[in-house]
Amino acid sequence: MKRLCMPLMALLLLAMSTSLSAQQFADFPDIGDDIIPEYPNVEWIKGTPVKAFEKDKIYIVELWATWCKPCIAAMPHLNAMHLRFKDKNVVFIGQDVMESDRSKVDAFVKEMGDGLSYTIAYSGPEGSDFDKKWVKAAGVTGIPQTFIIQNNKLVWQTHPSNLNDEVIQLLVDGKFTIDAAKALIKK
Amino acid sequence: MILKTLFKCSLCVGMATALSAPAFSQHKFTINGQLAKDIQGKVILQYNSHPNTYVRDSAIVRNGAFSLQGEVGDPYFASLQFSDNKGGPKMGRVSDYKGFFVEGGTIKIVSADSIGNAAVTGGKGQADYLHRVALLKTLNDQYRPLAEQQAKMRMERNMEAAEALQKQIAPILAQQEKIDSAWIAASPDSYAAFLLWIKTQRGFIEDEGIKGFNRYSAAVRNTEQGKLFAERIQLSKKLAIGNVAPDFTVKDSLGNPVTLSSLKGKNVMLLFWISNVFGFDSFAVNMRKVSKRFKDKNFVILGVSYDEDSRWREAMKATTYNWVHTTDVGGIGNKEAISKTAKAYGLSLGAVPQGFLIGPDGKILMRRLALTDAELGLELEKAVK
Repeated sequence: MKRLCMPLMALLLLAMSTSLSAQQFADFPDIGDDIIPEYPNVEWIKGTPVKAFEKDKIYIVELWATWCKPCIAAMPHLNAMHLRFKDKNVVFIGQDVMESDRSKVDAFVKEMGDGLSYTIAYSGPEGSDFDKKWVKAAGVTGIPQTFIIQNNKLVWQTHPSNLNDEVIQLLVDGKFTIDAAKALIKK
Repeated sequence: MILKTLFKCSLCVGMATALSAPAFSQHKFTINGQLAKDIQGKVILQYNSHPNTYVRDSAIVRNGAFSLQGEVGDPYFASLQFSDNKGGPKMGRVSDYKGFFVEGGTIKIVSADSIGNAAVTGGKGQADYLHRVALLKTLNDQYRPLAEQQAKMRMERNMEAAEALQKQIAPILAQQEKIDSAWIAASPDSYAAFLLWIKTQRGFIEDEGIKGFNRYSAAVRNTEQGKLFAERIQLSKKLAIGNVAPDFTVKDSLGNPVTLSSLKGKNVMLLFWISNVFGFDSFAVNMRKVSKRFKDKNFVILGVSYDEDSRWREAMKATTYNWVHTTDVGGIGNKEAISKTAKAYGLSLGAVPQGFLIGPDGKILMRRLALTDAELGLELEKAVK
């Protein structure tokens, strides 16, 4: 319970008091809008740091935390996709959020070893750069949550289970639409 | 998404029982209890005598014997708790209680020792309930020790072990659901089965729910809960896609009246909302996204707030383009609609926030909008005229 409750409590307090001032941060782009290319300041734990999104690359930014069981459950699936698409300009970033003990994250990543071979970053607790510019700005209250960026635009914000090889192939082929992706998931 | 699901639940759990309570019938009951002869203390009975009427009663237990009288409309599930008068329930102390159906007639509660082990006999509701208990007995015997073990693991913060136990518990629960739905399907005359079925019907009642309801005998459909469900069906039909959205008048921030029909000719996202809900952040961010997406379109957000005055004025500042801000504060109760507007839309505290998309002709285009879904704007775009 404890691990789940920490962000829960924070959110509850937010909802009660400070949430109304959430607009002090610029809102996160809507689907289809341009994204700010600079990646927020985070601590890179594994893989090549991403300083800014490049126009000709596809980014799958997956928000997770060590206390989030569904996030961890999605990792083998994400890792497999990463291995299949890493040479096709698709960059997977496992962005740790909503926790404040980096050593815990380090230990988890170490234990996962090759099971987690994509880029991993630690964002720090509430109020961190990533928290302000992405988590709060996008109104993320639950994880896992996946942001897909192509051509410096946010093309989808979804759950990692909605991703599969065919959906990523749509992105690679420049044929991605949400409806096309959903049609593939339904199959 | 863990928390999002919670938020969505808050949308669907409390579809309001909007219409005023019809005059209900009353049935007198008497409860006669006999526990072990050496038991002294008191029993506390808690039940609903009618859908929104909570009753708490108590009686002295002398030499194991006690008696209670009361009145109910239809059978309701009640809890009877024993207290030895040595202070209230303490943390970690398992209370001694029994659940059963309270209904017209005489109810007998007999135990050789405590209330928890008592056998309860009464009317048809209780008999049906006991039938279900018997159907589920084998599963329950498997479930209970696992659940207790899991609760212990959680107390000890051993989440991995708790999660591992869930793998054993989940198939038992799935099996229980199967048995329950078979029992429900086979019991069109059982009020106890009906109460269980109602719990599966959330939000607006669609065709399948109407069919399900019509399977029940007239006696079941004419109970208080049956009539309330029939009202929910009427409300769902009234607010069906393609129907004209019920008109209403509320006040804007300056106190001027705003009428829904005055916005005819525009697409209207009608939003009944309150800021004091879990997940408000993602809701607010999403609403700002929608308003930005449609800022140059023939589109307006009509926000009807149920917040207290100061709070909604503050929350208003967080919104951006093309909003019409209004308030219907005090219009909803915990479980029921109070104002004319809330009644027309079947609103209660559990049913907000709730959104509708209304076309320029005043007809409903979408209902139960997924207000925290990142794709809401795209869905609206497909539907607007």
